[in-house]
Formats: sequence, structure tokens, C-alpha cells
Amino acid sequence: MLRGVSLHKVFESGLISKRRIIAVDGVSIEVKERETLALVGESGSGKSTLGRLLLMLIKPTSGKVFFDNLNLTEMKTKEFRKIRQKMQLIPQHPEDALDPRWKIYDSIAEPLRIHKLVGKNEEKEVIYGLVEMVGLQEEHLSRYPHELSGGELQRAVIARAIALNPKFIVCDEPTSMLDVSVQAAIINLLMELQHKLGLSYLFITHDLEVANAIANRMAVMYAGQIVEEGTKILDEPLHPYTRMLVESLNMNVGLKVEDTRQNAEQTGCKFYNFCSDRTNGCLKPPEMVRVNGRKVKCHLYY
Amino acid sequence: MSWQVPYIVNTFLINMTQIREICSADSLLKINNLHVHFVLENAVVRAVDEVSMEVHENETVALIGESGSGKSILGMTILRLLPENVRVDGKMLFNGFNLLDLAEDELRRIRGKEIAWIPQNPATSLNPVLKVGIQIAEPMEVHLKIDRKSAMQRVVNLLKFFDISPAEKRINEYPHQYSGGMKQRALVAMGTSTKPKLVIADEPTKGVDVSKKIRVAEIFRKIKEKLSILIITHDLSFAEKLADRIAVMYCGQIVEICSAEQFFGEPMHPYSKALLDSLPSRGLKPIKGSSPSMVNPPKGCRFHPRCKNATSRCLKEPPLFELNGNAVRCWLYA
Repeated sequence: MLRGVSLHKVFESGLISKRRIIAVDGVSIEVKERETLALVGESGSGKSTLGRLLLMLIKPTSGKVFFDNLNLTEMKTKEFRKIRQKMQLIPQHPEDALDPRWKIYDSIAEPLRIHKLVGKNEEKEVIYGLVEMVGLQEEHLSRYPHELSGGELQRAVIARAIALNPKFIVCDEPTSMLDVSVQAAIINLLMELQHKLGLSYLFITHDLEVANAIANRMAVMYAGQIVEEGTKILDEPLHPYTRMLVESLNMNVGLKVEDTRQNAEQTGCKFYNFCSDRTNGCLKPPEMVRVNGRKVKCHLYY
Repeated sequence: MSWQVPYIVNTFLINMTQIREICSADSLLKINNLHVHFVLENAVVRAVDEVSMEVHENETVALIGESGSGKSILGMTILRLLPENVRVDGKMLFNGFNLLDLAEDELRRIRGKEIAWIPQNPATSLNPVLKVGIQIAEPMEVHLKIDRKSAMQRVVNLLKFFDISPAEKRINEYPHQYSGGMKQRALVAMGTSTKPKLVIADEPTKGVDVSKKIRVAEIFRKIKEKLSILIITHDLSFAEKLADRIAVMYCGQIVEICSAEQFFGEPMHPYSKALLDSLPSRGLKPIKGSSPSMVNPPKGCRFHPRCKNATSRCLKEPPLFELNGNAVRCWLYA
């Protein structure tokens, strides 16, 4: 349903001596209908940038994004507006995503008002329905964001995201700032909504266990590239980086990866410096290969 | 007793001799029936209510609970970092001294020297306009009375110990040149530089990725042999790896204290069980209902409105029941 083809994003800074940061480096990704694809990786690996590229919130340096076979990268802004209703974002920090001077009601109503989908009289009904669906009470609507707890804020943001009946939602670490019990409640809510409304999610997280619990498929990102993609990755990780991440779950092995951003400049395999299985062949950039229904970017599986 | 009670030398000396005898030999910090209340114009927020716990020498205790359960307030009360208008009752014996009786200048000798605080947010806890080396050296200059030059020499050794390299260059850098994990390690270096007896770490893994969390765990494992640590956290997997004992806090009260193996194997309190069940690896089952208010906490057991095992007796407040060295605040264990 949503497809990104060889997406690149390079951020440049500085006027005279340009500093280039390659955030996303040739990523192709597909999210199917009613599917949850978990995108895992460390901070700085480019997973949030990829999420934003797929929503076209930032323009890719090169590459294409397709939504229901429509090429979004070549579309005019006016046409694209209509499609934007179908793609939403649930951001990491709900407290920053809501206007502190607006009541929750107005924040949830804003997308409906912008797209002029419902009249004034129906608006109230629609919003009460949304609020019930995400497990808030009507009294929350007349409050301001600072009067709500973290979990309640996240529910309000989810209500706003589903207000326009989207088909695809990018969840950008929606639970990383929440307590375990609230996290469980929010994730259960997201899964319930997916079932009810037929949503597709790209679920960005750095928590492998959360990813494993909710996702149909998982993609592992490292230094701007997807290094492994498929199902049941936690049970049998193939790429050396994924293996290291999985081993790190029981916290006994020390990870020696400092800053993934520096490695993006590396030619050849980006993981070369930290890999225990490296050979001279790894100095050439690896290709994505298929191994038992899974995609891996590593010379070991050629 | 409250903050406002003026410090009297005599009481302090008497306390010192009396209390030394009372407290058991190996308990470094003993909190007894502590209450911390914020008095507002029309309400009283009971942030910490009836808390008793101990931290032994060379022991790591994890204080876990949801945000808003009062765990950070408890940590800050130990160092008396709270504002003046807070009402604090109870006893906190550190090495035999009641911390609540000490005057500000007495306390200053304990803060940073005997008890160190590692704050929650490394990004905002370092001074952005001072070089990191100078900031780490400061507690040593103040408490150990050594000069800047030899303090800096020790800073270099500390940074090497905590894997910040090249240490000689890094001491002259500013916080913005450090990565998040390095800032966290620099704060631990700062906290442990004066060789304190007790370190209180407030959410050391908040907002840290899996791979970096391991390095934080590693440095805590490095220091835990030599001193006592009180880790305030809601990160259960981190607590599991480091703690000898676990104290669970819910709505201002400690509901369970037990060994780490017991907690992760066979937790006793229904809240502990529910908390573990909400982990992604254990089924992601949320706890029904929402956290109670601290202004009007539920009558009786504070967890009973959300508890599966609640009966009519739960309307009466349960005491902390002792059970072979563990303690649990639940009528099921009466």
C-alpha cells in the first residue's frame, strides 16, 4: 500500500564548507495493507527521518514514495493535500504535539476543520465518538494539555490522528516516554484500532521487545540503511548487527558501538568497524540478499 | 519534625550517640515512617506516605514505580533537596545521623561527600558553559580540599575508568561535545569522585537506547562493589540486572520490598504482578484503571480499585507485613 523506493536523504549545513549528514541511504521499504511493520534501530540511525520521508513531511534528496500506486514525489501540493488525510503521524512527544493554549477538543477538531469534512453540528458527535474510541472521557476535552497525564495525552494525539479516517499511520516511538503499564495500555489501544479501522502502521521504536510483541514484520536500521528485514527476527537474527542487538537484550554483552552517525560516511559495509565476522570483502558495499524469506544486507549470506 | 526546626547542637549530639546504638551495624541508610507532604492552598499532596526502608552497606536497591508514585521525591528527600514549604515527618538515619535534624551547613558536608546524587537528565544537568573536567573536579576540590591541578589529574583517571577517551582531551571539552551516553558517564564520574558511601541515581536510563543502556548498566556494575546504590527507575529490565533488592512504590507508599530474584520470579503484591505482566516480554497486559490521585488517595489499600484480588477487607489499610525478610503491604499475606 505504501512503498518507498531507494530513498536518500542528505542534510547539509554550513554555507562555505558544507557538512553533509547522510540520514537515509538508499532505503526501499513497503508497508502492506493492515500490516504493522516495526522499524527498529538506535537513536541516530535515521529511523525517524525515514518515517517522515514516507509521509512526505520532508522531501527526499532522491527516491520515490508511492501510496496506493500514486507517486507522491511527483504530485502537486494541491492534489497531495487530499491524500495527506490518509497518512498520519503519532509523534514521540505528545506534550509537544498539542498546542498548550488549545483545549484538547480543539486540537482533535483541527484536522476535521481544515479538511472541512463535517459541519459544525456533526463535529461534536464525531469528536465524542473518537474520544470514546481511544478511551478518554468527555471531561478531558475541555482541559488543556498540561492537565493531562502522559498516557492521556498520547490517547488525545491518537484520537487526532484517526480523526480523518487514515489508512496509514507512522507511530514514531509512541511509548518511549511512558511507564511500562501505560505503554501496555497504549499499545493495546493501537492494536485494537488497527483491527477496527483497518490501519497500517509503521511502528518506529528502539525497544526490540515492543517491536516483537506487536509487529508482523520487522526492519532493522543501522546508519541510514536497512540491514535486515523479515519476520521472527528476534528468534534467529542473521545480520551481525541484529545479532548484537538481540544479545544486548539480556544486557550481558557490552556493545561497543558509539555513534552511528560517523559510520554513515564509511564506504563498504557500515558496520565494518564493529563487526566480529568482518573480512576484506566487507570493504565493498553489501547488497540486499534474500535468505529464507528474509532480506539481509551482509556479505556472509552471499 | 519539620524542616523549620532550628538546629540545636545538643540535640544533634544526643541523637548521634543514641541512634548509633539503635541502628543495626550493616544498615547505611534507614528510613523510618517517612511522610513528605506538599501543603497547597486548598489541598495536601501526600507524595510520600509512611515509608520505611533500609539500604545496607555495599548493597544496590532499586526503587521502582510508575511516574508520579513519589519515588523521585523520596530520593530528593534523602538529600533534602526539596523546597522549604514541604512538610517532612519521620526519621532518616544515615550512618547513625538523622538527616532531617541536620542544619544546612552540616548537610552540605554530607551532600556530594557521603551521599551523591546522580540526576535524571544528563543533557540539562551539566553546566553548558563550563568545561566538563572542571565540573567533575569541583566536588573533589570542595570536599577533599585538594587543589585544581591534582583534582584534574584524578578526573583524567576517572574518565579513563569510565571509558571516556581520550581522557586528557575530553576534560577540556564542553558538555555539547559529549554524546548523551558520555554525559551520563561523566555525571556518574562526578558523583563517585569523592568516594561517597551512598549514590542515589534518578532514572539513569531514561531516554537511553538499548545498546547505550548496557553501557550505563556496565558502569553501575563497576561501581556497585564499592558502595551502596539506590537506583530510582521504572525500567524493570535495568533493575533486574543490577539490584540486590527491589522496593516497589505505589501512590506514595512502599507496597513490596524483596530480593531481586523473588521479585522477578515470584512477586507477592498484586501490583508487582500486574506491573511485570505489562512488560512486552510478559504479555503486554495493561493495569486497568489509572494511577490514583495523591490528594485523595483511595481509602484502605491504595491499589484496591485496580486490583484483581480485592475484597471487602481491602477497604481497611493494610500494614507492611514481614515475611522471611521480605515485606509486602497486602491483606493476602496477613
